[in-house]
Amino acid sequence: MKTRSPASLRITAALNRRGLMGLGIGLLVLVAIAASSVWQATRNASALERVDRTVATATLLKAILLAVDDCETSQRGYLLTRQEPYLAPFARAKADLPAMLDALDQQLPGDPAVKTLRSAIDRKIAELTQTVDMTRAGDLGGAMAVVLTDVGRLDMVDIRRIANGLSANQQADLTQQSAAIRNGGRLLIAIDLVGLVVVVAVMVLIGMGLRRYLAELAEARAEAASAYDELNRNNERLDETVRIRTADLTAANEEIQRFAYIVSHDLRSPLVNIMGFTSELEQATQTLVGFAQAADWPGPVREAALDDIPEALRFIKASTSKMDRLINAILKLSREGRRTLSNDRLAMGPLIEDMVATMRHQAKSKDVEVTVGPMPAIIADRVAIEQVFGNVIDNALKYLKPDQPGRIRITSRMAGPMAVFEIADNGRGIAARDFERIFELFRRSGDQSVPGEGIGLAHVRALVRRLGGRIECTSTLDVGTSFTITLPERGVVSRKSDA
Amino acid sequence: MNAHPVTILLIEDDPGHARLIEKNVRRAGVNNEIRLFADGTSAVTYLFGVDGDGRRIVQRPILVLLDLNLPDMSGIDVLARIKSDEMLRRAPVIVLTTTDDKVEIQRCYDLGCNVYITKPVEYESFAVAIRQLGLFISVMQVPDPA
Repeated sequence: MKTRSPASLRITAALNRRGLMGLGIGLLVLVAIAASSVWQATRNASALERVDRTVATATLLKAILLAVDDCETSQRGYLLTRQEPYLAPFARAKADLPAMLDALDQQLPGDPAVKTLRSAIDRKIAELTQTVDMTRAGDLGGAMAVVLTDVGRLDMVDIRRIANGLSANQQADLTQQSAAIRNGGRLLIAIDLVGLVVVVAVMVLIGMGLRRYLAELAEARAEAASAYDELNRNNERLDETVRIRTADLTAANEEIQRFAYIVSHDLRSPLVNIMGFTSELEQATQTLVGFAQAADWPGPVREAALDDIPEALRFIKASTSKMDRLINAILKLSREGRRTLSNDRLAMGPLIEDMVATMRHQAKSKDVEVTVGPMPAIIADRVAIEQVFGNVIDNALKYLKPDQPGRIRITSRMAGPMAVFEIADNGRGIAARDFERIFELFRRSGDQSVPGEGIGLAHVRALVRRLGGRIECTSTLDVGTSFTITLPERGVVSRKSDA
Repeated sequence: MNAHPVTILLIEDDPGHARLIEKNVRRAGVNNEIRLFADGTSAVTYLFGVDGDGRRIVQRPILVLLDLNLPDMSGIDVLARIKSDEMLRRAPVIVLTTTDDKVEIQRCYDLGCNVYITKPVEYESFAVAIRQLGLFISVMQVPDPA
């Protein structure tokens, strides 16, 4: 089974490093594209502004040339007709020209050509004004003489030359600006294209990384899922193993119980014969004894009939009845083992109080104080519980020291799902080497002043085990004994016991 | 008493038990013939066997004292065969055994056993019980075979 976290951590770290780098590059490219776009847009805007200005200047130049032409045409008209209305365009253009030249000066500041243009126009306007004034004064010949000096015509040629030169300058500037704008646009497109390529490349890289990460994540998840399945399968296998073992143990236990039952049962038959024929023998001997007492039999025969045979019979009877009790005990144990336990809800307080009351009544002669502490309610077989506690409390009462008042304390506490009961007395105690022995069948501890078969505690332990609990003993000789009975509060899972 | 004296069939594998039972039944004054069978097979052969003429050997009224723990078969099988036989089903069967299993006792009565007695372990009470059984048998009416 693989663990999930290191793999996924590695993936995440790799994704973080590579992903962050990719995202950083993408961001930088975008910023660069934006910055260059802004820069280019600014450049274009200023270029456009200059184009606007150039166009305006060209228009102004044309307007100035047109105004000067108007003046000349108007003067020629007047000179021919000497009619005042022909002078109107001259007057209008003459009035407009200074402002137009100022505007041109503003648009092309410090340009020497503008100054030359202005002086040429001034000279031309002055010549025109002179001829008009002379004509108005009736000196037509004088006016014509001025015209014929050719000064005006040459000035006009100068004006056209200068204006055309300025126009050509403006045209060149316009071409240059247009080229700049076009180049700027191309650069912008190039930058955008490069940026696009880079961003797309970064996106592709990030996408690939993401895809790999997602694939690895899915794999890790699948791994985790399969690990979980594996764990579940293991658990099921474990459950199955436990079930099989439990079944084996139960089967073995039932086998032993059946064995005990059959053995004790089969032992009983010959025992019935031994006891039966011993009784028959005893009856026969009675007849013999009567005769022996009446008749004058020889000494050894008398002795045999009156002493030896009855003595032998007494021993046989004592042994067979003991054997009978032992076999009965085994039978009882095996029968208890075969009994189906019920699940009764038992309020242990009243149950133990009742038992103690009955037993105290039986053991009235003794000076005994029994205290029962707070008790929980548990789920268990009533008969089994009564036998267990009855036996242990009865033992506590039986084995008190005869020369001092008896004190028996019954207490309980919870330990997780188990209820722990303690029966402590101040009796004669049990030697440490016998703590385990007392639970064995037919074994007893200490002096044998109190009659008993050595069955009770073996029976108790078998019952407690069947109830899913355990019983332990701690004791100090001459101080007292404490039995601890631990039982599941919720009862034992009912087991098949129809051996 | 019956026109024909009742024969007591004692089916008991333990000869000691058989002897003690016989002794104590006799002490109660029962003088009927007691036939002892030490296993199930010989008892079944006697009960259901036929002679040369093809007739059942058993022609007289019988009373069966049956032990359940037989070496070759369960006494319950013998009981079941007697109680399902047209001719023998009215014959009283007294089960006398060491088994005191409740289920076993119920099964015996279900199969038609007339009396179920657990052999007391104490010999004195065993003897008394058998003697009383003897008294019981001596006054009991047993039907002739059909």
